[in-house]
Amino acid sequence: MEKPLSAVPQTEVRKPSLGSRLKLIAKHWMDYLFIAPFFVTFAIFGLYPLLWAMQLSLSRWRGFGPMTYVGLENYRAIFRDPYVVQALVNTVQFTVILLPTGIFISVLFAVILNDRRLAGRGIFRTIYFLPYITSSVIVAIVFTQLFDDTLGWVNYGLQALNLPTVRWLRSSPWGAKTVVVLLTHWGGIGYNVLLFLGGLQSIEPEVYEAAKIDGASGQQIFWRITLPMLRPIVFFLMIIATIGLMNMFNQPYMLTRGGPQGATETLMLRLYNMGIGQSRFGDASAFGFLVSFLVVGIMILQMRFRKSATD
Amino acid sequence: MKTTRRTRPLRITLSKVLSRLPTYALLVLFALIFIFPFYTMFVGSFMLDSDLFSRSPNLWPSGGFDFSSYRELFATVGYARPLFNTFYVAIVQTIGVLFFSALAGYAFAKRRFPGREKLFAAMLLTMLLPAQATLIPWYLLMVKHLGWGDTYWPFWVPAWASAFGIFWMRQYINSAVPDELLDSAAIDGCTPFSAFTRVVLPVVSPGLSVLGVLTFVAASNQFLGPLLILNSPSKITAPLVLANFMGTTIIAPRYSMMFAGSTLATLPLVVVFFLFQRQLIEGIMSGAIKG
Repeated sequence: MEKPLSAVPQTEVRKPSLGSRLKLIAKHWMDYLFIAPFFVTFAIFGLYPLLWAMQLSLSRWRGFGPMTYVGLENYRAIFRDPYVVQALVNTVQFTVILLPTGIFISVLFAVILNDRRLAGRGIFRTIYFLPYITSSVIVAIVFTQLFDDTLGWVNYGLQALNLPTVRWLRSSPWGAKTVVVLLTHWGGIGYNVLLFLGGLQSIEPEVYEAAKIDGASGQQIFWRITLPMLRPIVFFLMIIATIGLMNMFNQPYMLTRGGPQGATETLMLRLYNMGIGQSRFGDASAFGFLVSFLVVGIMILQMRFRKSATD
Repeated sequence: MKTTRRTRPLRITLSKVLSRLPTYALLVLFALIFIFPFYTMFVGSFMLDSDLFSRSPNLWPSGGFDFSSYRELFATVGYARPLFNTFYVAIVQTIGVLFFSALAGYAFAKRRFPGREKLFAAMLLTMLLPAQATLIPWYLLMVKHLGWGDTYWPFWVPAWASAFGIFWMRQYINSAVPDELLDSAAIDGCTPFSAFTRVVLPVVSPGLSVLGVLTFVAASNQFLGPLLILNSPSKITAPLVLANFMGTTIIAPRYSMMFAGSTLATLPLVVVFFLFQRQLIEGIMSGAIKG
């Protein structure tokens, strides 16, 4: 890297020699030791599996015997798999439903709970957060019973209101999807409310005061001040939710195993069935890579979108 | 969100209470929705299957509180072992995350060494690595190469590399430990490590407790990892046992047993949550996001 001539004397821009750099690093050996566990562990349990996945995705192998190189054959097989297409469609559906409704409900409750004159706001905050600490396996068990065709509270309530009952988990595809959506909301809303509450409290009271003096209405304040200030959190949640939804496994595994008729099959469930269930290690690795590209691609799009929105 | 008040702010008028009524109704309705599943789980664990499988669902056990599900859970299923395993795995995992995150977080926050910023950025980048890509080789590595199938090592050793934990602790140490404290410790002859144990660790316990609770909750509830790794009855954790109770489409699920098992698995987490509630909620509200 040749630098153009500058007025700075050569002796000052000269990089330290390799020897003196090594000495500097040796002097700080303890600091490197402090951070070494992360990098060593990541290399073994993160990087090495990643490279191995790359090799597996280009090979045919069932866990024993020789590994044969098949090029992009596994990737082609993934695109031909109708279950994969369905899992992708389902995951996109879940994302499109869960993300906007989740953000809307969370912002609504955060705004309500941010009112300092509201009695019992701490109690409500705690109650909404409580599902977050509960195992998704346990949540699924309880929801399976609540939405049981004949024994559950939900159909009982529908009957009491003279409405038709729904066979939620066993035979109604949209019913099963609804349960997955409700369960995910129930578990996650409380955390999101806390994030938005934190965001609301970081807005200086003076900003509101000034707006009120200028004669802004409550609605104007919400749309012009509160919501724009929450934009970084919405962005953060969109990234987190994308990663979470692409990883969605426990809920459909416990509730329906992907049924009925594949209505709740998610990408991770398909990956699990393909790789662990059927020992199709090559196909599953290729599939995992494709999903990863998708996740990273969506994140890049989100960051682009955020940039153009803030500019 | 009424902004038209011009009267004295502290006077409570009837109209003000009435104007709040819809808000409270909404809050209470949602609170009930959030609590109800916990309620059915807890009360259902004391019901007989005849209560749970009657024509209409019951709010209260018809024959009084019955402990037979709990007895059966311990006597026949041997639930004590998986329950112990769950929290044993989680506690060791949490200690590992806390120690290594605090140590590396301290180095990234307070120590000056060549390449610090680049290494920190590299560490943050690893958070973007999607789990899907490495699920299969992760499983193969643990079970086939390292021979860690049916052991707890797969949950403990990788916990030394928690990018989120290190990030969290770096932020916390930056804000909670003044440089002067470390300077004077160095003058007193502390090595970097003894400064960590004597100066840093004692003052960062709020940050540690938030990270600890989040890690402990996630570790107690992990499912996919144990599903892949653990299989012997003496090693499996509570979520796996509960998942087995779900039965198949042929065998009817045993809700009373599942509710009792779920209640026991949830209770310690609820206790931990209430012990650290304030710090946890404030921690999530304050520090979780940086721009």
